[in-house]
Amino acid sequence: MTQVWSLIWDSFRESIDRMMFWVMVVLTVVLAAAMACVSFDEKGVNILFGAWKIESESFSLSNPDFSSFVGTIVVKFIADYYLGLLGVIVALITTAGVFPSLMTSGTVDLLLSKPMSRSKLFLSKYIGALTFVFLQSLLFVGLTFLVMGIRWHVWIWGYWGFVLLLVILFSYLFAFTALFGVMTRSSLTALLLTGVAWMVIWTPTAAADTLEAFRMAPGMTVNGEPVERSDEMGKWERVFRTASWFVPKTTDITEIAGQWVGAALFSDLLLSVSDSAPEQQRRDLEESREFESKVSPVDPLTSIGSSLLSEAVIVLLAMYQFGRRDY
Amino acid sequence: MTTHVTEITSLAVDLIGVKKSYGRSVEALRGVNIQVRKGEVFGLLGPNGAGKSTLVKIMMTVVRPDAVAGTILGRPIGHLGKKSVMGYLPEVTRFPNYLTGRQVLDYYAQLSDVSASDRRRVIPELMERVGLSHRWHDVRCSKYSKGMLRRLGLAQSLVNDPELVVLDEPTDGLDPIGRRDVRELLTELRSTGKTIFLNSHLLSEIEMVCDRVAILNQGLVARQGTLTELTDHSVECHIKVDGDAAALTAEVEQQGGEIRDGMIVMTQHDGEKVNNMIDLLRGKGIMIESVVPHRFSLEDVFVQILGADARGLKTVEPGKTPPVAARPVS
Repeated sequence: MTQVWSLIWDSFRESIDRMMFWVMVVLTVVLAAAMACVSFDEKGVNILFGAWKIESESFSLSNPDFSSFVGTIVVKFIADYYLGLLGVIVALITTAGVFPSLMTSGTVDLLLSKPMSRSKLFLSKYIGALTFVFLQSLLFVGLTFLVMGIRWHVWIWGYWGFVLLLVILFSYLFAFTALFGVMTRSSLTALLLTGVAWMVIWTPTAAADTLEAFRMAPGMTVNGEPVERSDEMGKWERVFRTASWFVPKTTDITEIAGQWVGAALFSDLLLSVSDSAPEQQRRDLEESREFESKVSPVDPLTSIGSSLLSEAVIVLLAMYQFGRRDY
Repeated sequence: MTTHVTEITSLAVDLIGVKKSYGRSVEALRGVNIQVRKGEVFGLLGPNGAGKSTLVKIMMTVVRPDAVAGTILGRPIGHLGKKSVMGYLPEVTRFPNYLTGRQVLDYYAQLSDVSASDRRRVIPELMERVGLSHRWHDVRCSKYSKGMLRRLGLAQSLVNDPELVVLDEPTDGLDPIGRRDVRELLTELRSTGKTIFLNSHLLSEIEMVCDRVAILNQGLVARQGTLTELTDHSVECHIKVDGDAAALTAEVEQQGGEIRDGMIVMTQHDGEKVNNMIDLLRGKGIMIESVVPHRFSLEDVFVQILGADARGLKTVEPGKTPPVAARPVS
């Protein structure tokens, strides 16, 4: 066990030695500080510690749905864009070199000469990279949780689940980075190929979701033209849905996060702030709301379970590559 | 039977038929047999591309062999329990540059399953022992010079108090004082009963510290034995005469000698032939100025083997016992 801890700890030390780690820490602190500049009271929103006040019924503590609205904002903007995209990309950039640098001459020779198996070495390094992301996520979620609690008076305990979800999301992609890193011994190539893999694994779920949207919203129009629903579309939806079962489902993570924080539907949020919007716009939003409420929710266990299985296959492949080659 | 068992257990390294190819065209090792006794300093010599580093990497499981039999410390190659009592210094070492020298040793000691109390005790001692003074202990190794990194690497190879230390070019990058320090350290390690497997290009270094030597060439062991075995029979006798020695070519060749640089060179260690040659010269009334026996150095033997192999004259095929001494080939 000493060996495993030693390797994990070394991965962490290696990561914090990189500039990107500190860039992410600074970004986290800046975002938390920016969030802290906003607070809510019974009447609405206070910005810059009361320097600017916006009256809003929806975004006030008097709104009983306020907590779920905050959850929606957190999921849509923090989980989806900031952590799910920027955070994961930064984490991948930071950790892309873990295996290529491990496999450089002079490093790998020493490690392989130690009394441990190659698979143990590989998995320890892999877990080390995940630990690094876990700590980054913990810092981010911890800080923003406190800001939301203290400044916004909203204590969303399910928000802590983001830490786990982010590590899982990162692990889906890092499995590819590890595989390509082991195969090519190049951080840059591994990173670029991971980007390609991300697109590939995103495609089946995205395609199936789009086709499901057509199915669930019969009145949907594209460029003003109503979309005809055909059996062919249904067939392709099943094909993509089946295909998505075999790849890590990165897009499901945001929805699972929404479930865990009890987020309101995004169209509900938009509707609540569009009192003065034109009638047509409100009708469109209500249609969107109806559609959103009809879409079948993601089952976290099935989604994460099948994704982790796919990830395990990729990791095993990478481990096999690492174990069989000469250095 | 008793003798056989004793022989086996007295071997720290017993490699039989080690083969390794890279692709279809490159045969790095073609059936190497090497035996290293416990407590000795064993030197592995060979020209570039002979397969030395491949062999060392196979011993340390960095490279997977195509075929191998035998044992290291009585267990098959790669046995994890035995790896914990082996130390290794690769030809190239790349330490994590975010760690200090002390942290580097602590990290590799942990990977070798050294207990925390032993690490605390051993690491400062080792650093001093390899010549890294106290003020460098807590300095990041990215600040170390090439020589200091080599010393740190050496300390790393000893951090688990190994029974067998495998050193690949340990003095590479060291200044003359550093090289002397390493030689002294090796001698000290031998006195404590440790087995040392030394891979080096430096023949003088091997000659100074090694008990036994193997010369690897073109993926095969060309020679293996003690330094004395390798050089003892490789003796020439140089006879300098007054006058033109070339005129005696026919007689000299008849006695098994040759004319080289105006001197008669008896190319075999054969006292009788040398005496016959001297009698012959006296009989002809030729003045003998000097008779100098010349023992080959390891370098001479090494160069001869390489020269012979280059001409296809000497190759010890797999499965055959390599001769322990070289016949000088002029």
